[in-house]
Amino acid sequence: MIVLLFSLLSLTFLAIYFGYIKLSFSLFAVTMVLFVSWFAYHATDTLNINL
Amino acid sequence: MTNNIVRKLHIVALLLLAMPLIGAYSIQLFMHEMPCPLCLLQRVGMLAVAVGLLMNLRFGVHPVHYGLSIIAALVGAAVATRQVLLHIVPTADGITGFGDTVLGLHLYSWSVVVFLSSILGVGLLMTLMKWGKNFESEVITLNNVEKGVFFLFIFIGLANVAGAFLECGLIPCPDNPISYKYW
Repeated sequence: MIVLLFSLLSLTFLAIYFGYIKLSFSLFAVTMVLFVSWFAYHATDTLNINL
Repeated sequence: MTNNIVRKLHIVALLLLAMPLIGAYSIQLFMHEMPCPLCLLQRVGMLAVAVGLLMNLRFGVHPVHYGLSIIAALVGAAVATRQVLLHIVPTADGITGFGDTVLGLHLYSWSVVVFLSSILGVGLLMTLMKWGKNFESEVITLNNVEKGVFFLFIFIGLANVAGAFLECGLIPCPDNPISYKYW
């Protein structure tokens, strides 16, 4: 998942560089949703912590 | 502020943001300190903060772009604060924190500082900005310095893809990594 997040961000940078504004927003939105989901998973499951 | 000064301030802000990312990667590469899953998520957060600023450089300054950076900084700060709270009390066997310290603070503590400073920086940029009424986006031609900043962040992003893949592969990273999975 971490590899996917870094890949999506690199693609976002490339999309911005090449001037694709809608693609940039879409990639950023997907990245942030996965980012928050992955963090929530880590905070509550992997580290065995109850929030 | 004139448009030229605003663009220069964005470049300075992006370079300041790149410094902890390069520093963290250097510590991983040269001091062989493996980043934990939350440390990697903090790097994701810092790269995500850069997205809004890079969009300002490429598509023109827009409040929405600043909003993206603030959202990313808040999520990143939540991750970093989470890790600070995990290690804030020394364990029974005397272990204090995860990894080495830099100038007296652990990297995740510096991470909190970076994310809060990012929010402060974006707030200052928004306050000092002379806003017009026209928010139509346009693709702006980049000068060589701005292109260099773009390539720097693309390089940092791809370097982290490689680092994260070598460390964890495509499965979740171990909580306390001690070696690379594929190296």
